[in-house]
Amino acid sequence: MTTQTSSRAALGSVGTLVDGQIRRLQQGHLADRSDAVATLARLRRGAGRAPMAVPDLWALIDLTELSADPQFSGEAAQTRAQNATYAALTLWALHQQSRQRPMHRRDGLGLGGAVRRLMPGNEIDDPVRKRFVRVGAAPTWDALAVRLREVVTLLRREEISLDYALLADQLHTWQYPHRRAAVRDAWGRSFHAYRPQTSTPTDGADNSAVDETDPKDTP
Amino acid sequence: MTHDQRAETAQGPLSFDLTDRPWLPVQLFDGSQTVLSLREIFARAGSVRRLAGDVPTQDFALVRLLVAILHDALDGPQDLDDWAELWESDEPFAPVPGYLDSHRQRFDLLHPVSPFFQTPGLRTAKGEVFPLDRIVADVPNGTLFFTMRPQGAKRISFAEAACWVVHAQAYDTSGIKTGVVGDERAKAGKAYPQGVAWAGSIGGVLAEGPTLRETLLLNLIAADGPITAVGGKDRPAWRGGPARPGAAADLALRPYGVRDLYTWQSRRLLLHADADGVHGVVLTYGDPLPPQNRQGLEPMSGWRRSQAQEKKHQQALVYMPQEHDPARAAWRGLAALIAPRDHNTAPRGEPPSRLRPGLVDWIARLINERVLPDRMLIRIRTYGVVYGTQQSVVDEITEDAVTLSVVLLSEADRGLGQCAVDAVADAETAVTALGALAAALAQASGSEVEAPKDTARDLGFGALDGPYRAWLAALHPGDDPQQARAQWQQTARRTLARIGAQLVAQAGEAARQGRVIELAKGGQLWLNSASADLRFRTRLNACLPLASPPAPGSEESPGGRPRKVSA
Repeated sequence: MTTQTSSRAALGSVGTLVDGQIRRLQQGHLADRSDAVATLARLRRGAGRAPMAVPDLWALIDLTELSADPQFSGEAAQTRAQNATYAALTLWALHQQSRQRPMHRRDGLGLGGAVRRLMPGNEIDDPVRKRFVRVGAAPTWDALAVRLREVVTLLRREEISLDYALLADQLHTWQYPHRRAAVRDAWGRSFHAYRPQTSTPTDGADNSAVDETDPKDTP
Repeated sequence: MTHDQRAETAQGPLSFDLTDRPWLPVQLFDGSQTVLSLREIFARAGSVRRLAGDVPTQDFALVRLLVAILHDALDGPQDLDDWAELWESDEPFAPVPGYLDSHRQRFDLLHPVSPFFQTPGLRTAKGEVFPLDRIVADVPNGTLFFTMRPQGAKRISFAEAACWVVHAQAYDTSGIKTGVVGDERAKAGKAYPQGVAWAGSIGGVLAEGPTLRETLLLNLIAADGPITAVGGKDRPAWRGGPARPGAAADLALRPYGVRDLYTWQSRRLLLHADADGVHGVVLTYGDPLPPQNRQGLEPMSGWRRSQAQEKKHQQALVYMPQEHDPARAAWRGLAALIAPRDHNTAPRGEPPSRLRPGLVDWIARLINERVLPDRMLIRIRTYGVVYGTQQSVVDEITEDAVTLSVVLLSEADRGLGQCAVDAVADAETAVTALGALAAALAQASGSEVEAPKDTARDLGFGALDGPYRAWLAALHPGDDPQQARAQWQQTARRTLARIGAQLVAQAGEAARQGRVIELAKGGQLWLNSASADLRFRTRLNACLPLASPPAPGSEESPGGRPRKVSA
């Protein structure tokens, strides 16, 4: 169901920006264009680290669109958008490393669904689950970045792709404390909603519950 | 005897003539309350909103008394046409004053020979007199209900006493009572339990109109229906001889009809009074009336088939009164109240498991014969007493009402009535899903499951209560049942999804982290707030299929909605 539902979700500004940038880089990488390969290598070094800690990245990521968006006019808003963009791009770069299939799939799995796919059939792999729980329970942005990095490493090993545009939007939202729970709930639901086979009609009908999960209703 | 214990005034023996003296508590249209005599209440019924006794069950008992008077005064209505004439008439109660005149002596609460609803000369071997608490219903158990009485119920007015006498005949508790002289059933000064008074054993149901006039008429059932009087023998208590101690001699054949039944003398009692009021009572058992299979006689109750009773009495088919569950609002029992008698889910050839009240059949007949307009709204009001400790105390008095368009009872338009019943079932299953959510959240966080589940169910039903009543009252002739039900399902879904979201949000960190459980069918489930939430939504959608709107967006993208981003 995750696959079907996320396709209907409109991306936010951050997600849209990330989607565009990764698509461009991903194409280059899969075509083995040297500039893209080099950019990926540099981005990877930033994975799980604060943007300001890796000055090399500043020039790699084009944030002009965000700067122009009146939605992000304040400094705090800029920082949140920037954090989310950096994190999504660097995690993707780590994920994509030496993989010959696209690891970012717009309308692909959400974070929870991808983690669920790491587990065999109906079994719950507890170490993986605990790692996922730790992502949800991250108390700070830095901790979140580190824990996501661990999970992405696992996903790379199994070549399980992820919707990084969606993740970018979620990472952006996560930074608003009162909406953090909504993001964690979305990750949790995405985990449980994952189905190995094609979606059943029941799963599809379940999407209609969306209006009640509106993040603004969640404290 | 009576003279020994009743002071006489200089003007002669005490008297309180219920036909002339005000005693019936009523509410008028401006909301104010007053008391009226029997004569006044019939004369002014069109400007009285409803009865307004100290407890709701008084209203039920008093309406039955008034209806019995009407049946007897009119000696009818014999058939539907009779009734329709009354309904159209400007003076439907015209014969009542003459009737009251001719029975005046029997409507005197303090009459020395024939005190109203009492037994003259009733006494114990030792001549004891007991506190009025015996007939003044105390609710809840052990606490005097009338806390506004500084001395408890030591002394009450004649008017109040009259109400409580009628109430005691209808709702008195069971348990060991005083043995009276002349009652062969008494042993060593004690009368052993014979069960609660008649109205206490049924789940009382009245049809209520906008005025007392209409209420009385709606509950006045013509004799040509399924609820019938036996020959010409049906008569109210005051047309027989004054009651004597012990059971009446002709019980096996009775009740002869509703006049007999509505004034059934379940008890023998006698008030003790002086010029200043009533200060004591002697109370014991009167005429027992087993409730099994009285559906053909008692129209003011629903009935349920009891297989336990069938075994016990070795009978093929036994119906027992359908009592009201105080934990359930009346609308949740709507199926028992309005679903047609011949409509049942039992296999073919099986008798119905439930029978709706004869009174509702009667109202349905009025609609089907076009005597009542199908746009009319009536209120179905329910009354019940929950007895505790071997039925010897009153634990709770329940009262509720649902307002509905009479079209729901119509045979011609059965779909809408079925829709109203189905909507209750929708609510039940949806609330069950909410309860399961609460249970799963509790289990995920490792705490006890039952209490949160019950709390959530209460919360769910509570939240649906107002919306359901509003929805029900708004159903009109010609409404499309499917559309109406879809509308209800949407309301139910919105309401319960909101509560579900709150439960998930409040479940806390432990529930969010959850636990991995082994599934019986193999495999594992990570039970946490997310999986509980997901399952709840799936169930809610499954049991409210008409509620699902087109689904834009995804629940996985809280950041995917730019307009929601807080700045």
